[in-house]
Amino acid sequence: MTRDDPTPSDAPLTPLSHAILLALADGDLHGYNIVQEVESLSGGTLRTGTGTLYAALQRMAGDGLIADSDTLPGPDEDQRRKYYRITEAGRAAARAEAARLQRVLAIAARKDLLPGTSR
Amino acid sequence: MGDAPDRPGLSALFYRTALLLLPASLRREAGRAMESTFAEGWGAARNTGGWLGGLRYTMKEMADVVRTSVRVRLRRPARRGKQHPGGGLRGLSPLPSTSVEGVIGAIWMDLRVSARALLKRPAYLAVASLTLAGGIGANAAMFAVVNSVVLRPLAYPDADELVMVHYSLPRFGFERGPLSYHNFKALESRARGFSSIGAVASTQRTLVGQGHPRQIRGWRVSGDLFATLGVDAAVGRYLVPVDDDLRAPRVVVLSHALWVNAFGGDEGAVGTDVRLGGQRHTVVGVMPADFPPLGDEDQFWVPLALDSDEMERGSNLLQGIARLADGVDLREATADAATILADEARTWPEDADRAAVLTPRHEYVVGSVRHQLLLLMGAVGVVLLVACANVAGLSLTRGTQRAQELAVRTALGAPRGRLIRLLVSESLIVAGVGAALGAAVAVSLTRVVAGWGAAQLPRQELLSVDASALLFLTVAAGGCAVLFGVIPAFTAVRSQIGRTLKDGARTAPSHRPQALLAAAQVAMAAVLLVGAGLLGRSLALLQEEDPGFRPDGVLSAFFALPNGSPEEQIGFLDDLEGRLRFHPSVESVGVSWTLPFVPGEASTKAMRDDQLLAPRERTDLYVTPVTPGFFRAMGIAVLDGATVPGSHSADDPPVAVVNQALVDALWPGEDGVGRTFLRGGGDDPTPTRVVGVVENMRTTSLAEAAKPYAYVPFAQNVWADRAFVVVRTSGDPLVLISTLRSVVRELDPTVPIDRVATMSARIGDSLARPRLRTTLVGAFALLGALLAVLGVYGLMGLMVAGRTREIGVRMALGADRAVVRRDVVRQGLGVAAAGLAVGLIAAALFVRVVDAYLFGVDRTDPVTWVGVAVLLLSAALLALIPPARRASAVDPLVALRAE
Repeated sequence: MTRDDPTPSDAPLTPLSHAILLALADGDLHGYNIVQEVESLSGGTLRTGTGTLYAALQRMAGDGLIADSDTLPGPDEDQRRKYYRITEAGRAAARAEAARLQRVLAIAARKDLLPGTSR
Repeated sequence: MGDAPDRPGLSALFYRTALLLLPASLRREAGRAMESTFAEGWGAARNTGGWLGGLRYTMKEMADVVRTSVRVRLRRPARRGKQHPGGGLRGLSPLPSTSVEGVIGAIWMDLRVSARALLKRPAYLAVASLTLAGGIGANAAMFAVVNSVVLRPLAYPDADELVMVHYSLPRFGFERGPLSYHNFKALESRARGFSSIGAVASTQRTLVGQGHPRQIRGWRVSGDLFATLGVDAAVGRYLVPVDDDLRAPRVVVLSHALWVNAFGGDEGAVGTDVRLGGQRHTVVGVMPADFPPLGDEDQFWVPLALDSDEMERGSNLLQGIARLADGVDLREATADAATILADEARTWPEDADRAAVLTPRHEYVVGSVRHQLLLLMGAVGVVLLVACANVAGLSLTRGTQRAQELAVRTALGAPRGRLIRLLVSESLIVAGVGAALGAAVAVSLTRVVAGWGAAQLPRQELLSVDASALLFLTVAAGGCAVLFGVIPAFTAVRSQIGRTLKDGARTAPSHRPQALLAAAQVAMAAVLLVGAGLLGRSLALLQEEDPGFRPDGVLSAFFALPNGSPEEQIGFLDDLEGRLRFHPSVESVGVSWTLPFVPGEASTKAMRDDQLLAPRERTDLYVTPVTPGFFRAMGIAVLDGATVPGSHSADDPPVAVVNQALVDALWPGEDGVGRTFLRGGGDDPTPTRVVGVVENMRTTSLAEAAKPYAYVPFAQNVWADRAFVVVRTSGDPLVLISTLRSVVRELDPTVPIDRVATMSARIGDSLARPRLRTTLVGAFALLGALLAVLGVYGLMGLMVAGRTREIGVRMALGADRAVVRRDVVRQGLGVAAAGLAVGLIAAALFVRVVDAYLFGVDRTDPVTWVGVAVLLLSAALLALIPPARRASAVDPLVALRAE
């Protein structure tokens, strides 16, 4: 639960953190974009409330996975918007998480527990 | 309520308030971004889900903020936990262990400690919980009403599939007209959107043989109606298609209430014969007690069995009730029905321009009151907010007074979280006591509302404080505890600790939060008062409206004309009038087929005899047969000509006395007497000569303009089979009731007398609904204002108490007592005025929700707005006198010695 360990690479990410990193991988986004992107990446299964999202963003920024973006809201945008970007540590963490999931997949495949395979 | 704007507005305000629960660091870092994200999400939710979608989104997001605020805090102390090895304070429970018993034990311990602390100052507990009890109780009662009347589904299986079928004429703003037999048959045979459809028409019959003869109201229903509704009979059977035939044996199904009242609830009544409307009917069944009525009053159901006249195309008397087919939604079914009616219209020009209107049955039953009930719910919700703000002020004050205690506890090592838990459990106790008292308030208030609202509310027989109302009460109490307890707790813990120990009680504490709360209460009270003021002014103006007749001293009663030839019926009316007139206290007597403020007017069309207009271009006309004495008995002024349509026999050319409204419509600015108009909506309207003109009379509502009326002789209108007798007396009209009954009984014992009431009472009934809503909103507003004024009083009392030393110093230095007094008053009024200003602005934004109920006043009515300002400020001024006195009574010596 606590994230005292400063090296993020071996700690599993929460699904929300991972989804946020994936959402930011293509470019900087503001809060509502992240909500939408997370929802579409997860095929609609991961719907996050605004409070949960920003608490996660704060925590991830504290862990160095993401940072405030240099992008500022344009003149006809809501000026309260805040953009976030992924850091190198964030990319590394996302990659590590993907690797972990890959290992999980490999194990599942060995045990014949992948969807669509025979049972 | 009303049409919400496309920006979140109020929702955003709620959301921003909820954000206060989050730790300051998160709020600083991302608060504005969160508001922006919320606004965008809200916009999307509203676009897809309407106002309900917006509301749902707001609730979800606020719940998420609450969850997050807890989760984030749990995360933090866990990091620092090692710095606080337990606290070791007597009375403060140890860290909750992870086992369930441990958690429950810890909560129990917290509650006991808090209860002890509260009981040390019982005044706070009493005032706070009583304030909350009023607010919570009123809300729960209102919720019980809204829930029973509006929210709970009707007691049919799959009630949401049932729809009412009407037609509308959009070009003429006419909605929900009754269908003709042919419309109904076309829909029955061809509509694919319905799995079944039935038709109903209201009716009244005289029931003879069970006690005294009585007029009962019920419905003629088509063969498939009961099957469509899907409710079985409680005893016997319901009506089926073979019953719906003029040649079939006559049968009747009784309502549970009629069965109990007239047949003593005897199951043997099924199968026996009763005389209904002069004909023998066999009772075949009894519906269950909870069978939802089709209209205001359902006592029996008989087969529709239309005769050939009623099957004519021009005869529109049926309401359709259909069940949607599986997988068909309202829109598709409406489109399907519209196509069928359009096909009909191509063949039958009478049906031109008709559009099908499908209304969900539930909407049809409660639609007329929903908005008002939601308005009341909103008003009472604001009262609860005022109560919460009031208690929050109290609890902040208490927190200030306990600053020392809290500081000591902190210094001894109690972690912040533990103190917050202590304060929160105190507010939970207060809210709990408030909720328990509130439940009692709710139950008694619900009874009062049921008493007032009888006959004003559909489905009011279901009114009760049930499990969902109690659940609402619990949630409301919990919400209050959060509003008035948790936020002040955080504030108290954050602001007091540290500072207090350093400073002792030497500097006056800041009262800014309390001042904000007091101002907020005044603001909310102002909003309520403006609404209540506008409604009250409307009601007062409405009550002063002239109905067009003199209702005092007039008794009226309904009776059915005896069976017989027209001559015999006219003879009966003559005898009735003659015998009643003979009575010493009777001034005049008349008979009319319809009566003002009694539903059942009959409308047709009229045009000048020198015009030929298509039916829909003709003037609307209301017609009722009357006897010549009617105008004197009602006190309707005769403007011109005669009042004696009665002396004309059936063979004479038709005549009528008309009201000024008809003259104005047909011959504006000219005399009506001697002219002829054409009466009727068909190809062959009846030429009718005007023999007299009378004053306009309001017939359905004092708020409506008078309708064009033609009063015609009974002798020339033999279709009337029932009527109202109207008696004007010099004394108390109610004394005449028994005379009236005995006269009728002597003339014909089979004639029922029913619905006896004075005309004043009938007008009063028409005002019952506006009076009910005005009284309720007014009571809520006064309660809110009282609480707000108490809030200002409490605030200034606190300020004076906190500044005793400063005041003492000023006085010792020579300050005048009057100046000290004026200072207190000025500060208090400043807070009240700030609140008032905000409140009036908010009222300006919300006032349109009462627009629909205003009569004779505009929402900008200066009397109301100025009156609210004056009322609130003078009440605040009154409340400021005691603290001002106390301030000027400070003895400089005592104040300084207390150092």
